[in-house]
Amino acid sequence: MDQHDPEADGIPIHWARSYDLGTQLLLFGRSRKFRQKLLDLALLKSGEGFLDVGCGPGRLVLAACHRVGPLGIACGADISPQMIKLARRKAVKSCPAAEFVQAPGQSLPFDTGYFDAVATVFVVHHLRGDHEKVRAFEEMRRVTRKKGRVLIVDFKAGGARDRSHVTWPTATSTATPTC
Amino acid sequence: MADGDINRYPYLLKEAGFGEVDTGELMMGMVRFVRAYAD
Repeated sequence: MDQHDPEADGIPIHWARSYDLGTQLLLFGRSRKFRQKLLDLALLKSGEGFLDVGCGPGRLVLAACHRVGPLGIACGADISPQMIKLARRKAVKSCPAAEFVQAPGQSLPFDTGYFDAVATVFVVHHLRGDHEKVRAFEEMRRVTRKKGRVLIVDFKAGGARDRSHVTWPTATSTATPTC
Repeated sequence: MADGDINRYPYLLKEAGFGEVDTGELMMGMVRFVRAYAD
């Protein structure tokens, strides 16, 4: 029987709060400036649609939400339900218009050409092998409009090291398009 | 095992159907970005 490989969709990080704090510390207090730089690189402007694939606690989406303004769209997708829960909680205070859905990067629940810019930050190295990376890139391309931008940010030397400690969940997507 | 050589991402993006791709560095070279344009 052909079984779905639970690793294929990437590593879901369930310790959302620790991850959020850790990434802030890693950026030496420059996280806000770093996020603005990423939005600059994505060439994101007021009124546009933005998606962060593997959004984690949603900080980049919330920054994008302020940049695109009330006429724009800011969405985040992450495979981890804990991350989505934390991101939604942050959005209530910071930018209620931001939307978050639980979905893997290889299967995004959005219409073709829906976004002007798509970003994925420190995520792609979690995808095992070229095949899964290309699948995710194809999906990001699908949801990006013609002439839209896809920004991929990752560590220079690769990141997915010892993954033996990770408990793999059954890969299911319960997301519905809400953005 | 490292599985995220970002230097290879531009080739994988081309394989995924992207046209123009540009690259650069952030955080004193510790982080790289690849920007692709859908066509």
